[in-house]
Amino acid sequence: MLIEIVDSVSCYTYTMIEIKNVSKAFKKKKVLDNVSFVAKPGKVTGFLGPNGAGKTTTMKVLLELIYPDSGEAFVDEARFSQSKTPAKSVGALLDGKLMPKNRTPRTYLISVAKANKLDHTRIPHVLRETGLSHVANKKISTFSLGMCQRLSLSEALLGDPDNLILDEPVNGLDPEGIKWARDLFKKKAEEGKTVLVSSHILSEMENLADEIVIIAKGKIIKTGSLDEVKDGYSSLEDAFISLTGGDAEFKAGF
Amino acid sequence: MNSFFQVCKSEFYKLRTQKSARILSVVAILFYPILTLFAIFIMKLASVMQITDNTNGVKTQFSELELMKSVGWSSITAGISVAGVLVAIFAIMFFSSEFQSGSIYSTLIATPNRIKLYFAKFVSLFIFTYLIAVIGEILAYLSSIPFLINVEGQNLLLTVSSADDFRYILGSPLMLAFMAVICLALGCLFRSTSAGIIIYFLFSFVLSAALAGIALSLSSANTLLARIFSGIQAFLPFSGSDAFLSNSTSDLSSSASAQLEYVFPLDHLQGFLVMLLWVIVLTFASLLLFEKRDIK
Repeated sequence: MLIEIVDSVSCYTYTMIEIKNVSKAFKKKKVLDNVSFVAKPGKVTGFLGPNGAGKTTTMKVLLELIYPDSGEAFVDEARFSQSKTPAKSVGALLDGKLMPKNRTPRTYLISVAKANKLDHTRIPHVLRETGLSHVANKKISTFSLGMCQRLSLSEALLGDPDNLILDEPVNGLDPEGIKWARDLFKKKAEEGKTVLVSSHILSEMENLADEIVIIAKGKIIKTGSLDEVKDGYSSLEDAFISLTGGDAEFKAGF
Repeated sequence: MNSFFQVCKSEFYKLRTQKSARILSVVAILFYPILTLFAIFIMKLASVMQITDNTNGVKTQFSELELMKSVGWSSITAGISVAGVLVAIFAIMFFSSEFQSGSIYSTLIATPNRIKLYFAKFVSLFIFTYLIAVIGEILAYLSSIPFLINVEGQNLLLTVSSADDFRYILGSPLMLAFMAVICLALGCLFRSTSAGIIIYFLFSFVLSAALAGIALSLSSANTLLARIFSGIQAFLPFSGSDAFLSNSTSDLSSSASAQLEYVFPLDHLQGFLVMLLWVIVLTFASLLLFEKRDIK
């Protein structure tokens, strides 16, 4: 009993996702400026920011799709590319539309499972979990955005990873799908996994996130628990608009 | 465990389940027996025709036996000329389509080690194309049996009796696999199917023909310049393959073109080395860029 308690405590003591002083510029335009934050295990961390604030770039840096000019990004205290079991370490959803259109969900997930020596019996399980069992052998090119998002989630969940990195995961999902996704992310956090979710839907994030990280113009402007971030404001939306100073890209045109 | 072997298995699975690769590889395989049968048909046709020598007007008719004896292993492996083009297209697409569809994100999340991923694609494509050529050769050989088993009472079925035979049988699939991995590198370097295919056609047809044409036009006026252009043409990637799979060295040296002063002939080993060098250089260049460049 004592050993179990010690184990459960120790698994919460080291950071699962950590970004340290990351800066990145594209053609001299700085898109990330000394970004640092931590996403803790057992919590859903909401990563918020206006369009073009640097959310997706930060997530790509974490996944080593983009190399930072300076700073470091760690998953489970190591660079992601050094992971011996990537699919068990990280499940990621970047853009549901970016799927191999000429494949079926089944063949696509088999190729992912083979690369990571995952048990193929997980495939029907995750397809069932994401509500795609009935289209397992249909071409992905026939899928709607919502179905592609669900398939991306299937892929992210395939290795039952310790960390979930999800960029706008509820994009294209219907209300039922959004509720399902919310419950799923909460359940994963309750299981002790680290869940980092970016979203524009602030009301949704208010229902989901335990911790909040707000980024604007490539800089982290606020981190803390949901209550800390909301402190002094009527809602997360008010806090967000006030903190970002109406920095949303669309406002630039007005 | 994300081992190299597992990643290879995943990439091989992608290849064999990709519809476009399946169609192109089946067509590539079929071209082997088709071109073999075409060669046999030409010989049969020639045997019933009289050939007139324009210089002295003497008419000659070759016997079917004599003509069919010229059907050798080079005819069995002739399919590489068309299979090469088809394999080049799907080899380019094997990488570039991932960049274009954006599925490279998922691939790199499943296998974040880029060097491991590149070599897994390299190895699986190499084996896949080698198998295509071997299956094509087997079908071509089988298709030749009814026509060669009894020609005017003689059995002309092909046998393996010399090193040259091995060069054709084992070397032709090797050249096809080399072509494939060169095109894989093009797909990775340009990250675009159309750009990769344009470069492939430019190198394998346009540039080669243009350099040969320039060398020919300069041959009478300036042999040194003609030799330089001919030399450049000889060192293009797919000239190496042609030289490796050409008829025997003795044929090459005595051929009309080799006797021209400007021509820069490669022997089989040199042809092999030119091809190998291109594989190494392009693989290294694309690997370096793949490892260093952001995937935006």
